[in-house]
Amino acid sequence: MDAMSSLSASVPYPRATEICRWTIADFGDLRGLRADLRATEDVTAAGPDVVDRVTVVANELATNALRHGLPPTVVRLLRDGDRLIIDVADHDREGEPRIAENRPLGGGGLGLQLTRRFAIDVGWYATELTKHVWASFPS
Amino acid sequence: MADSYTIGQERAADGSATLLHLGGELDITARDVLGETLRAALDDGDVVIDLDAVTFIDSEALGALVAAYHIARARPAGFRVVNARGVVARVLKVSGALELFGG
Repeated sequence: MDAMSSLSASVPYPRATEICRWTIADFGDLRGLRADLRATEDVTAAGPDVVDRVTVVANELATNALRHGLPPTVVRLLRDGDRLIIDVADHDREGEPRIAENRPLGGGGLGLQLTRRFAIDVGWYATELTKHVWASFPS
Repeated sequence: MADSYTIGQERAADGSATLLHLGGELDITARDVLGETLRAALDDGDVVIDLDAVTFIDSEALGALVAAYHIARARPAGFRVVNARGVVARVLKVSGALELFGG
């Protein structure tokens, strides 16, 4: 595993409700995803700090899924109590998402490092068809 | 759809450096053009990167800045990143890039 460690494998927030979802076909769709998130009431109501966090993390996770996963990439915004959740799914069940520890800046894995710093929690789980990476935020 | 970002370029008034004025949202769609622009600018000497008009930056575009920083260090050539604001400043700080670039 060299300097890699697994994110926790668990199905989070089974009772979470979906606020919105986006199907992302290519990198050109990321801009619209960010604009939509910044305009979503559940996100804006949480304040500018959370808007920044959610936008950065959703963009990083979707970019990662487009680069390394199998299409389609589906981004969902969920609410579970006082937490907002970004859940990004792709159809590559084999690829286990990993986060690099102690890599020099620019050595890769920067996206997931930003995700870990901007989210409260980060994890992943797989279903029969899909792999999901999720991140949670205060609201 | 038009690009989400802009890249403007000029020589400093005293000719000492290339000023790159970046704007808009810098994501993976900007990474390669940004990297090529930075490398070409470093061929001419020192570079100052103005982020005043940048409203978003992701890890991919930031990676292009970090790669250019390492090229500049190896030359050596001057490399300054200025005027990061809002979420851009936050991403630079959290990632360690702000410290790497010298504040």
